[in-house]
Amino acid sequence: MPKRKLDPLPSVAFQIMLALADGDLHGYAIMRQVEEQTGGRLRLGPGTLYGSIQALLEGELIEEIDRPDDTEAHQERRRYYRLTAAGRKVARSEAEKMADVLRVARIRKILRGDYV
Amino acid sequence: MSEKMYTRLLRIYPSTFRKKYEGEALQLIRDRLHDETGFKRVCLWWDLVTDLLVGLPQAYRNSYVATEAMSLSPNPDGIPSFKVLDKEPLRRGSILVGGAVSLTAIAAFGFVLSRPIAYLPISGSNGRMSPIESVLEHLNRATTSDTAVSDAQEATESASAGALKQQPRPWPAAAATASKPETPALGSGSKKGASEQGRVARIQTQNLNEHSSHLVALSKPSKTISENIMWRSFLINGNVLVNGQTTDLTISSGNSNSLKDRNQSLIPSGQPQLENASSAMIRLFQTHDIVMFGEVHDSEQEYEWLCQLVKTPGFSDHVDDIVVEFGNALYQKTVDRYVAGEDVPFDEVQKAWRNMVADAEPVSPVYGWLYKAVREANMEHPGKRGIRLLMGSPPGDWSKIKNSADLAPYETERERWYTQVVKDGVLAKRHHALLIMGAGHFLRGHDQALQFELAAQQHRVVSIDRAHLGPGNIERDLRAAGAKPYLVVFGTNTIDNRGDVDKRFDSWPAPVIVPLSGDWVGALPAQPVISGGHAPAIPLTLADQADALLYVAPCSALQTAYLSKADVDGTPYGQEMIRRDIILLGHPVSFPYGTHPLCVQPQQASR
Repeated sequence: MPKRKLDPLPSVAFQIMLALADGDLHGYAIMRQVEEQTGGRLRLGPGTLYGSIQALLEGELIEEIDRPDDTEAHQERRRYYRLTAAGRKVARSEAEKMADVLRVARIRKILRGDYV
Repeated sequence: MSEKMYTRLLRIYPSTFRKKYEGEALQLIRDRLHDETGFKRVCLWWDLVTDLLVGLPQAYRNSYVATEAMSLSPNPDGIPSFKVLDKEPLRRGSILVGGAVSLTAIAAFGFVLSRPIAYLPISGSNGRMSPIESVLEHLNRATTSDTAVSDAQEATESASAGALKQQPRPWPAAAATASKPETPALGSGSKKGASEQGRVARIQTQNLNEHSSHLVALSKPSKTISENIMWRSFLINGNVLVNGQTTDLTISSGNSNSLKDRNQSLIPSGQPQLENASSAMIRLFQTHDIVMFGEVHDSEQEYEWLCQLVKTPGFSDHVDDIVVEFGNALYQKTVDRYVAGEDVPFDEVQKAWRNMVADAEPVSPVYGWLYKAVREANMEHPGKRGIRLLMGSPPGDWSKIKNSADLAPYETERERWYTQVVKDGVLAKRHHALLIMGAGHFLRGHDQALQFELAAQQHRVVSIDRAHLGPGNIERDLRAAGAKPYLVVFGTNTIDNRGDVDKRFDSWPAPVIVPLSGDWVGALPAQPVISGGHAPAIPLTLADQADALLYVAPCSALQTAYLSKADVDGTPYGQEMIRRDIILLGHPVSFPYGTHPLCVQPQQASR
């Protein structure tokens, strides 16, 4: 069931995985990170964010972790999430697919060199 | 405030989602409310709306079990067992809402199923039936009580398959369960009607006392048509109608009490509710979308009244179309232009009725009268949506019909074509229409099985279960398509010398329309009243066969109108009619000219 929901990988789930690639984050931080990495084009609402997080948890692509020791008191209720090894592999695979698409688009001269 | 609103919004998410993420979701909202001000605050609510659309389906797709570490391993003892995944019991509110929604859905489904299936043309079907149509046809055939009719229709379909590719798609046979329509009262009655009631009552009492014992020997105590018709015939005339002749039943005494009791339960004693024919017809359209008028062909007085009807103020306010049997569909556009008041040569227009596919005689001029009357009625109100004449005869092109094989597909499809025209041109547009066709096409209980039985019995009184009487093919199909038709037939007092019935007809302020349910008029034998004396008496009453009777004049005053000899004899039209007769009948026939009496007296008919 989870695999079907994540295959193909939804863009929101992929963005969340990318956001978690640099380190463990809680929900609000994930939302901000996704907003930043998409240039403000994607701002996740709670329903989308936690729905996707749940799907990723069920797919074992991310995992919930214990609170980091240095969290402030008001952050105690927050849950933190971490990219699993499987999740990192899936994210890499997805990025490679996109890179292939980019390469083809560049060969077809749909994209210019500005895009890496 | 905003947080409260979002808390309420979260209630539409799955309980498992709320249980796990409600706190974090609210925390996220709080964070955003804290961080985002001004225009961004407005954007926040927009984000929440779009988030609802995107995130809600996702939230319901998740199973919420994979991370619960819940054991789903089989029972170690190998005994099958259930595991309840949701720890939280259903709330009362959820049960109530779910129950209410389910009941509403079931009620709506039941209501939809109970409704007649409205006809809507399916464009682009290339003449093929949709799966739903196929199922409907199958179901209707399976429940049709009149097997003979069904078989005849199938034979007709197979005979005409492919030959009528230009015709509308045949529609499945209608449900045989179509019920006989209710018969609303047409008027509040008249003083003459009241006096008639008294007369009828006196006649009934007198006849009961005089002739009861003989009837005991003739009739059995069952509610069959044979019994009813005997009683009715006896009570009305003091005679029994058999094969157009009368047999006097002079009886002296005996058993009057039991017969009287039984008679009171069988004989309708109501007075006929007479109403001016034109106003009655217009008023019928307030409660019926379709009024079927079963005509007697070529009747002069009948068509004079029809012409008067279409010109009656208010008729065009209630009636959109008149569907006529005497109009070849090849000429629909020409007729449309003609009745709209355009300058169309009459020679072109009259091809519409002169080129009907099934007429063996030069066509009566009465039909042209109606075309002209509709045109004049429309021209009296320029700019107003006028009455449209719809051609109910199949589009057979006589210039291409060389033999009976060429003609057969059109001739055998006449009723189906007519029905389809009504469905496409009237019902699909939610119009109101007057349908004019020979009464034989409309009469109820006019199915082949019954006619065969009557013929076999030489039209003597036979025992027929009334429950088998159903609407004709056209009415049945229209009812199945959602129409609410009312059937009026043309008739006259053609039972001369049979008691005082003629005098009662004579007292009516003709033209009148008389409902047939529950009065002595409806109890009259349908034939020869409807045919004007041409047909032998049958064990069906007028009430069995129609809703109302149109009476315009006594039998002695009615005439049929034909073209003059000069209009036919030796003319190209006359020669063409001889050619058509050979195709239709195999030989030429002598044509009637001028006017003739419509009625054939029973004595004449029997000779």
